[in-house]
Amino acid sequence: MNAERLKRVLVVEDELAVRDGLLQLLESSGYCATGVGTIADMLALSSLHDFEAILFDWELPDGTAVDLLPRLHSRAPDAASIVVTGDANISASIAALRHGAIDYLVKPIDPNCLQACLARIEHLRECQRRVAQSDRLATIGQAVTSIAHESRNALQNIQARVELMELDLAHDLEKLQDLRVIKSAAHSLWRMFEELREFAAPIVLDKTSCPLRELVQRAWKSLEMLPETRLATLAYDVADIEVSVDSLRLEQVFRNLFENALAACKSPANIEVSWSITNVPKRKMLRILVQDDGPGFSHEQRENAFEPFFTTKSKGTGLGLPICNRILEQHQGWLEIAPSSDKGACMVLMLPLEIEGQSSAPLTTMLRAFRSFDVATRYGFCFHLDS
Amino acid sequence: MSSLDRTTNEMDAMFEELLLIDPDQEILDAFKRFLELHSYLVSTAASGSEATRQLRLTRPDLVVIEPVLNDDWGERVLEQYRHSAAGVPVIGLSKQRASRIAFPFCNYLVKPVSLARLLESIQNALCSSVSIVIELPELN
Repeated sequence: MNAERLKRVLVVEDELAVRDGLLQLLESSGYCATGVGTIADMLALSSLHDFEAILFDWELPDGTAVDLLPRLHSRAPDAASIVVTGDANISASIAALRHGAIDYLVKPIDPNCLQACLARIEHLRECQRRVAQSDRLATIGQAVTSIAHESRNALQNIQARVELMELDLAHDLEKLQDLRVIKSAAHSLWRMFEELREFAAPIVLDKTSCPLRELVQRAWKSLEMLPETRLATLAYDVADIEVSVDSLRLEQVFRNLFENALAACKSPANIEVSWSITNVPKRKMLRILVQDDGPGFSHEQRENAFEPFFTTKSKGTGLGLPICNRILEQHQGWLEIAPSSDKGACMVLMLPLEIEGQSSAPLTTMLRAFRSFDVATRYGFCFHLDS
Repeated sequence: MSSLDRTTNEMDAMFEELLLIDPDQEILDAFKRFLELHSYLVSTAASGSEATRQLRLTRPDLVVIEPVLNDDWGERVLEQYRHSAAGVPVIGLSKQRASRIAFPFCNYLVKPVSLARLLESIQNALCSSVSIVIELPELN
């Protein structure tokens, strides 16, 4: 964790030599340090609330730490208080901590102890900052989820009205084209809201056993619902495999990968899906390849493909692949980009297989309908999506 | 032939009665207009109280309900249905991915749906004598 350095430190010490020593030590360590000799001088500082840490002697000429700490907390609530004393007294330490001091240092001050104390404060501040940031992000997440839900009513209204108008204007080609544009814009909005919601919401799987081929076909078929249809071919080569997955979620992953491939490829796009069983340390995995014949990934795309909000498309949130990866991770698998080849882009979906006798593995597969030449356990099928 | 095609109107329904329940009156108006083109008799309710009133007055052949009505009206309406109109197919059409209410919807759709999909779902529900419970995962 890279904690942000403290900048301003105040030293309240009546013994001039000790004070100067502390100031020197702090400044040589990169802090902007200020020194005063009494509680009155300290309270007179107009910039008191700017200090991030305040070191003060347990016993000052005009009061003790117990007198000072409550007043300090009201005047400089964000400052960390460190009590310094020549007398290592356990009851005084307890009293100081109970009054809100962060630490208790004994003179002569060991520079390493002081550094460690300030480092602890920096670490604590970083944790507080992260908690505050998490709270903010959680609030934003809730807001996004709520907006996505509410948007569905508005989008339903748009869709129903546009479709009614399409019925009324069935013979006016110009107006029908306008309506198609509205529909497409509404669809883009829907995708954006759904992706933001998916990214913000936790992924809860509902696993069932289903044939992988059927799942891939459903994802492909669902592309026909897109406002902009494309000439494209999906190919794979016989046989099927049964998987225990959240079929809706995995269908979503395939759909997303197909959409990305179609966006990258010229018409007619050729996408090939194949799968095989592979061994990784300590487990067997189902390795599914989604290969297209487009230009492939650039170096920048490879580096950032799984970064949230990174996108090279003119329309898109850049959340598609991070969400797909989250879905696979939830299945205890992962998504990756295959090493570059001449053929185009190739995405690799890795899903763990349940090995006989090991019930803890999340995925059950049952191979069936092998063709005699499929000894390498590679499968596929072929169908078309026409514009 | 498209399911939106008006020439199929007369085949779609024999004046079957539908009750649409949704807090958004504009959505109700659009659905009503479309479904009437397909020869359904459509009544609508934009609140839980209106829905319960309609349920006392009529016995529709099918109900399409947004289960997320204001406060807990959706739950109360469905509870009333469970007792007074058992056997009547109920389609959930919601802004939420999964219903928080345990109810045997014959189909559960998430907005936005196309009018064709809505029509298809209604036709299937009316044709089917057996209710199918579809449980979707609780996502949020």
